[in-house]
Amino acid sequence: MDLNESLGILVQEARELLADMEVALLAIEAHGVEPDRINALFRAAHTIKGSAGLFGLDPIVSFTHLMESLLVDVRSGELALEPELAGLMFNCADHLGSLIDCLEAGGDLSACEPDLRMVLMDSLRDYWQAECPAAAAAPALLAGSTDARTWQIQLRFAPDLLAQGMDPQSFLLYLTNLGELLSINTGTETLPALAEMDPEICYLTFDLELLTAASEAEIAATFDFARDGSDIRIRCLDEPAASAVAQVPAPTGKTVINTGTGNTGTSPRNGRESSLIKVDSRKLDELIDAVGELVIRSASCHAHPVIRGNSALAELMESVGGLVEQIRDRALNMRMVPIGEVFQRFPRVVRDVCQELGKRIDLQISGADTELDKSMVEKLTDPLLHIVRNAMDHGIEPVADRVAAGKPEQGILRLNAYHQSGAVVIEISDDGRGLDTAKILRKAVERGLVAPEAKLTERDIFNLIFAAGFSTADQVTDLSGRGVGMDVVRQNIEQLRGSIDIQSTKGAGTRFHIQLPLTLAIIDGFEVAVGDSHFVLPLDMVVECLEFSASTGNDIFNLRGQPLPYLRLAQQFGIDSTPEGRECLVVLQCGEQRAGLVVDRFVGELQAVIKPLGHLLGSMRGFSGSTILGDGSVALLLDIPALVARAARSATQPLSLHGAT
Amino acid sequence: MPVDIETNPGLTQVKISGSCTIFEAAELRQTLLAVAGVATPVVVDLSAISDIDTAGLQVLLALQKQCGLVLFSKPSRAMQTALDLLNLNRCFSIEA
Amino acid sequence: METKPQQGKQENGVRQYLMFNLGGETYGVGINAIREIIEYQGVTGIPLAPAFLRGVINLRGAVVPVLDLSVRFGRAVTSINRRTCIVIVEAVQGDAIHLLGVIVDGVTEVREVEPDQVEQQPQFGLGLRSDFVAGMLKREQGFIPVLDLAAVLSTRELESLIDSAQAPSTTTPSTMTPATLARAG
Repeated sequence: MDLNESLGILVQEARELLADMEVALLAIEAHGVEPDRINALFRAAHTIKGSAGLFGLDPIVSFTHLMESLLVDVRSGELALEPELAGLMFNCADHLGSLIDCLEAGGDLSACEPDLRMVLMDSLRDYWQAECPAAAAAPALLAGSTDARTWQIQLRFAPDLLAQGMDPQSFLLYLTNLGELLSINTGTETLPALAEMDPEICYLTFDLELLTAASEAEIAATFDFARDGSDIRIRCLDEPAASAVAQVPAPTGKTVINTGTGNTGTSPRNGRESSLIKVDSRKLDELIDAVGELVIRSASCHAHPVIRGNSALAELMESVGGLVEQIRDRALNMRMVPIGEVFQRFPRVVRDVCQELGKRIDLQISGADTELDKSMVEKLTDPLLHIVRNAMDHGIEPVADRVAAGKPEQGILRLNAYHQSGAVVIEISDDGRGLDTAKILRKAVERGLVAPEAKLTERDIFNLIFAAGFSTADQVTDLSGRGVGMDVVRQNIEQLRGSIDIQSTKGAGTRFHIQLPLTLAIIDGFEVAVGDSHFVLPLDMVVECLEFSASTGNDIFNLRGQPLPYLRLAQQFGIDSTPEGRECLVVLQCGEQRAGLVVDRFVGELQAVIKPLGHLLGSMRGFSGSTILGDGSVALLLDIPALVARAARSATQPLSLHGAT
Repeated sequence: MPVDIETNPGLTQVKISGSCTIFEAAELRQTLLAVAGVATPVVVDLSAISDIDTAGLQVLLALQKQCGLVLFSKPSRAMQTALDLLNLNRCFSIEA
Repeated sequence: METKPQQGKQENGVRQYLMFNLGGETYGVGINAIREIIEYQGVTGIPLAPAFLRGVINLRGAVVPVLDLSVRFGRAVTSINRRTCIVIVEAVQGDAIHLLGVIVDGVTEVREVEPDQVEQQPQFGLGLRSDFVAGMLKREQGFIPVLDLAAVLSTRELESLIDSAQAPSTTTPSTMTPATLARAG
């Protein structure tokens, strides 16, 4: 962990807190003020201020300090959180978000929207001073000095604390904000002489006594960034001896002792934190790589003649294999996150759009806890956002139109997610005006996407909106007219190996139905061989496997009376192969069309852990990834649609490469 | 972080100026190691230190462990603030 | 902030170079970018790939492309023998570090070299592109070229080579190519 990583944690934490803040503000706007909601706001401002203070990020500290001060008064009831103030808080949260973005990008914080910051800070001050001119004092102490207790804090920092860019002095300084440091004892016992010391290792130890009204969790939060490898003990001296020692849990999470006796300060957020561990997703990928290897190796052990010849060993090996597979499933499961991570962005979007367009829209979210692969969640945000914006912009009508059509004033936008037979389904539906097939068709003809005389089904027409360069909006608005069309949405979904479908009834609404695989990491595969090369196909494309016999003079196979175009993999790939015996034909379903693939032999089904081709190989056509086979070698995953498309193209060229055998 | 070292019979005078932080700690240690060999009392003038963090303090404390008789003198404001915060005044035998 | 400033840097600028043979000649590369050296085995060929891209290997669960340096230098395809090795190197592309395997005829030694033994000016007459050569090492028998791996393994250049090798299928109707399928994962 280095400084960048600590900052990364700060950025991530701040974003989560800002998201909490937004949720709380939206709830306040919609359902009124509740202590929990105010606390959420306060906690966000307070925690961000604290973290920023440790890094000396002054623009953030001074800004959040004002927010916090104001929120202290709101919390104590001295100041009412009226809609106008809530709006100001929204803007403050947005500005904080910009500051955090700027921090992540390594920019100069003081140059990040300085004018806006001045305006916001002035407004915050105006509120604060107007409502409670007497308010001053350090916010953390406001809870009343009668609540203050004495805490003993033992700090044995990780040796690399200094090298990580942190300084114990800043922690102590920060603690003086929380309360009064009654005593400080800096221990030098373990400090070696100059000749032996490493100047970047932290040798000093610190024993403190702090008088504060802050909760244990708040004190512990001071050391959030120093937990890794540090031994930090916090103990309340004013309570019975039984009040045990609370250790700040290390993120590597050995034992989490939290016997909080009467410490009401443990907020929900802190409760959540103690049960969650943040792990760099790269580490998780490495784990999954290693576990994948383990599965493969254990399978080869299982197949080893020595083991097969010994039933006791074989049985043992089988149970080991079962456990190993469990480990892999669990490791993969660790990548799963609730789709709520994406959905939680939408209430704000809907609110803002409603204000902008003067529409009234009720957003209904369900299935937010449906889990899917983390990497997919990240790539889903943009397409979903686009569909939602479209629905609000073009789908749901303005209030007057709705009333005229006999609909309720308030439109409904529904986001729903659920699991269905090994896939994740996401639905975005609205009760707006629906798609206008006539208009779509007219536009498509105008754009030359379809011939004027073409006979299209309703579904075909709906699908036209996914064509490149198609836009149904007569007037391109600020919202949807961002140069990103639905074609990009579909492309994004297809990149995730998913599909998107539309249902729409004129006047009654539109529903987008997105289906995605649970994970990008594993597929059921079908292994085939050509010469010495092995390839894997996605099993869900395989319709059937047959013995192949070419009799006619072209590349069409007679499949029970139906013509089936086929291609020979050996020819496509220029592989020398002299198959023993008969060749084999895999019948593949590729979208609407079927195609055959001739290979030397079938090897069998397998669960393939997909490795993206990534670096350099990403532009190799005909392959969609790779996987590691039982013998440890790499096999390429065939990109069937691309192969079929290429064969279709070469077939239209005058010289056909495929001679029949 | 310039360090002036003046060796007189019976006394070594060291003056550290500027910033003494994690960024300079390694160099500071290297420079001060030259003093470690001398047997005479060492007086370290702290009046020109503009900035000191825990890493810097550690190097000074380690010098004391190395040489035994080290006197620190005339702490600058930054130095005094750090000593006060960490309650280290007793560790540094300060000569005003 | 860089931690441990004195780590990794050799005193007085002495640097270590890995010496290897390729097509009867000796080359050097700085060891900084080298992750490990493994035996040549288990390379899976990629159909239709340009000749310099020999295939991929499984390096402890990660799929790593393997390049034929000789072909990259515009020479013959490296033939595999008992001493053939794959040198795993780190290729930096923006913020990301990728692993790449490079086929060589055999690794001879790691040498510590004083800075004054390195001639910074690449020389001509090596039959190598001059940007591939970072410098020349003085040896008793003459000079040994030190390769500039960043240039030899330039992601942008290699990718465009791979792209142009597949040129016949560039004009693809958009509806038919989910060619990027699953690649993003």
